[in-house]
Amino acid sequence: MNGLMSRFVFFALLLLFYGCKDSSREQIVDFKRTILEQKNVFTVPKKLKDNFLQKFPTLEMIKKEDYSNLFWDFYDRNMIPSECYTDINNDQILDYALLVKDGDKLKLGIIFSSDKDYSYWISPFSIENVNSGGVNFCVSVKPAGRTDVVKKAPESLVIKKNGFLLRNLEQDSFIFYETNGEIKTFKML
Amino acid sequence: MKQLNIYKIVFFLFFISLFSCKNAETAEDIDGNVYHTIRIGRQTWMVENLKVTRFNNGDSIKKFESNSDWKQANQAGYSFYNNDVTIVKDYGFLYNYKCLQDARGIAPEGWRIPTEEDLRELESFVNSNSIGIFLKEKGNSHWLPSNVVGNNATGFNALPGGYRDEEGNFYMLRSNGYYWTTNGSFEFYNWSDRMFQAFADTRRDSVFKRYGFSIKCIKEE
Repeated sequence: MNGLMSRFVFFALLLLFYGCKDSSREQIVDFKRTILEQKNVFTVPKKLKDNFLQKFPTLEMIKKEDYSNLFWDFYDRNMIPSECYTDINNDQILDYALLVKDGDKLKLGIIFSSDKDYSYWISPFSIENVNSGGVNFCVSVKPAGRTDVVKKAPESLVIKKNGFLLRNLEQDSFIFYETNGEIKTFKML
Repeated sequence: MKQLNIYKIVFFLFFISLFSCKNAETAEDIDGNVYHTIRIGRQTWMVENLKVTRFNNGDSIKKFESNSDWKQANQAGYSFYNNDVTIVKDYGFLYNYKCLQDARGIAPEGWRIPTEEDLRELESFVNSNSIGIFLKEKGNSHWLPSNVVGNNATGFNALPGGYRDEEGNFYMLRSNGYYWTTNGSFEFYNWSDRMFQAFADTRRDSVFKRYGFSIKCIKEE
């Protein structure tokens, strides 16, 4: 009987120590190694790009090799500088931005996703002329928030939804954002 | 007699193990909502977003549904994204800044709203520019797709609960997550592997006190 009691005591002690230790887990993670092992690649789906080009046959996607050598002095060659994605119209679905060539003009194309379909928008103006030196612009996400610029006069923009930011090398140049179903442009230069 | 004492000891140990473990694992608010907790370095954080509807003294926190009610609110209040009650289970509530300032207390007893210093300590522990990946919930069940999907290695479980602006409009569910600190917000984005602290600073612009963000409490230690 005493042996049985000893086992009960031992069991209760086990519960006490291991149960509590486990409940507040101390994270032992090699964060640097974990990030190296993380190989997620998400890009704009090819089918979407193909549909976009069918819709606008004069356009050409900007490829990595179209970029200037100077651009790659600033940025990592693993990045894809000509495309990005976020929800810019607050419908909880990804929208996509693509830098494209229209002849020698660099333009931004936006693909809006909805539950059933896609719609497209092309910047009505040329962002820069693409010459033999190569492209210097990249596109990234501009999160909702305030932007202040000092040009000839100080100017501010507050966007409530995410937008797309165009950079000339490392200089912020344009914000494209959606409001009331329209794309607007905020020049930062 | 000896056997009776052993029974008492066994019962006592069992009793302690049950209750001490319960307190270490979870936190409970005044509504009876139970939150898992996670130890990250020297800090303990709530895993789930706060969804309490009463202050610690039992007074109700005002719920503001319509845009005009939210816009005109001069008291502590909460809402949930798009007034869709099904959102609450996963994302919790969006609280305005007056909730944080109210002396009746919104964080459960023994817990508090994190400070900027708490974030610095968290960053220091993880010690990676890609801290967002380790803090965001794993996978895409709530986050929009991205090439920097969270792995939640810390157990922090950051979610993209969006925000409510001063006009009462809701924005950015599934792509952006905003959490209160005592002086503003800290943020996570679906496309980014980082943690940000750039959106709302109530010291620089008091309009953000009228915004609604999620709350993740930290344990007082």
